[in-house]
Amino acid sequence: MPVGEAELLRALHDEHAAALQNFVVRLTNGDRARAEDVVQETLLRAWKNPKVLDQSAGSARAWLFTVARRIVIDDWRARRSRPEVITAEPPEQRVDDLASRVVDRALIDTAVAALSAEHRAVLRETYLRGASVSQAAQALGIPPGTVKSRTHYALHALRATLEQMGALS
Amino acid sequence: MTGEDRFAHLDAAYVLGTLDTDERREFAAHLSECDDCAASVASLEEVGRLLGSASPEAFADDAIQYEPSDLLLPRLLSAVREQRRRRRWLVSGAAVLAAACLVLVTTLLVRTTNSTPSSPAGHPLAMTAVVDSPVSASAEVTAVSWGTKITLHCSYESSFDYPPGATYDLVVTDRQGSSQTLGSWQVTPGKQISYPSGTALTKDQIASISITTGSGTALLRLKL
Ligand SMILES: [Zn+2]
Repeated sequence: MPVGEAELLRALHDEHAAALQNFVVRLTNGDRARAEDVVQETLLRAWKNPKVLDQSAGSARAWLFTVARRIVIDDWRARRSRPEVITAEPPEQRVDDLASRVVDRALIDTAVAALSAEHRAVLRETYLRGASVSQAAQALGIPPGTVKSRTHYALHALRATLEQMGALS
Repeated sequence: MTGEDRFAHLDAAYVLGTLDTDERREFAAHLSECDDCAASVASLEEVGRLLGSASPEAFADDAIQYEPSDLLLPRLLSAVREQRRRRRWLVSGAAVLAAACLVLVTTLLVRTTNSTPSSPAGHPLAMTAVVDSPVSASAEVTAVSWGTKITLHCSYESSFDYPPGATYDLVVTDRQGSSQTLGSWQVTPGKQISYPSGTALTKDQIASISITTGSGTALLRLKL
């Protein structure tokens, strides 16, 4: 294989493999080996698709997340539509509903887990645990004003991450 | 609003509903007169909604970061090498087979064109080669109450040196251009197989049906 192509593959891997793995593991019920197969297939498809590689890193990532999710969903569908399970009722609808819920959860979990520990902590106290601003300030040992501004930075960081992943409409 | 906006950092707490009542009311009033804050709130609304479906574990202090194993990169590199080798081999091997396939495909095409130009349900339609390959196939596409039944009839050149464990996928593409894989099967050199499958798409919604290699290269296609 020409040197340039090996470099390209290595760059794709270094830039996106970890982010993809974090997402796909959450779609495979924690099956890391299966997730890694999906990540491999996703990166190979990108490598075969020069248009993707020409994009900025941000939009390339959105493409990769979309492809990874499609590979997993196609696999779910294929399991459902093997000849022996074809019946008089369409299995697709149930699979689609479930799939979109599972995908949404995997996307948001991946993005939350990728936040800095400080940002995660402020969302955990105020949003998840429902603490008031002053309760959260006490739990985190920071002034109430900082709780509010940190929530601001945390949510905007989360939005940027989700956007990169192609998770926002 | 110019200069320091003392409300500018309240957008997120407002969206998440974590402000106390007084501040919430004050900020809501400010929103009606400050485009910046209103835009900022709007930009966070979808994030706020998605956050509602997050798992509590994702917020943990030591939220798990999954790393792909050290084997991924070597596997990627060898997969690419393997594909290059196979592509070369497909092209060279296919020269010999092209003639045979072409005859078969042409025969089927002629037969279907003559007998059933409007392709009613149940008649096998020949799939057209996208690249030269040692496989030929026809498909029966039948509208049924739950969607569309698709039965493939495939035959493989026996003299061809298939990669061990080679599999093919059946893929349908709808008129919006999105594809789904209906299933996959193992190549059985020299044999004919019938592969029944189906989709919830109606026959009208299907733009094409393809047979692809396990790695996604389309070999044969039928446009509907
Ligand atoms: Zn404002």
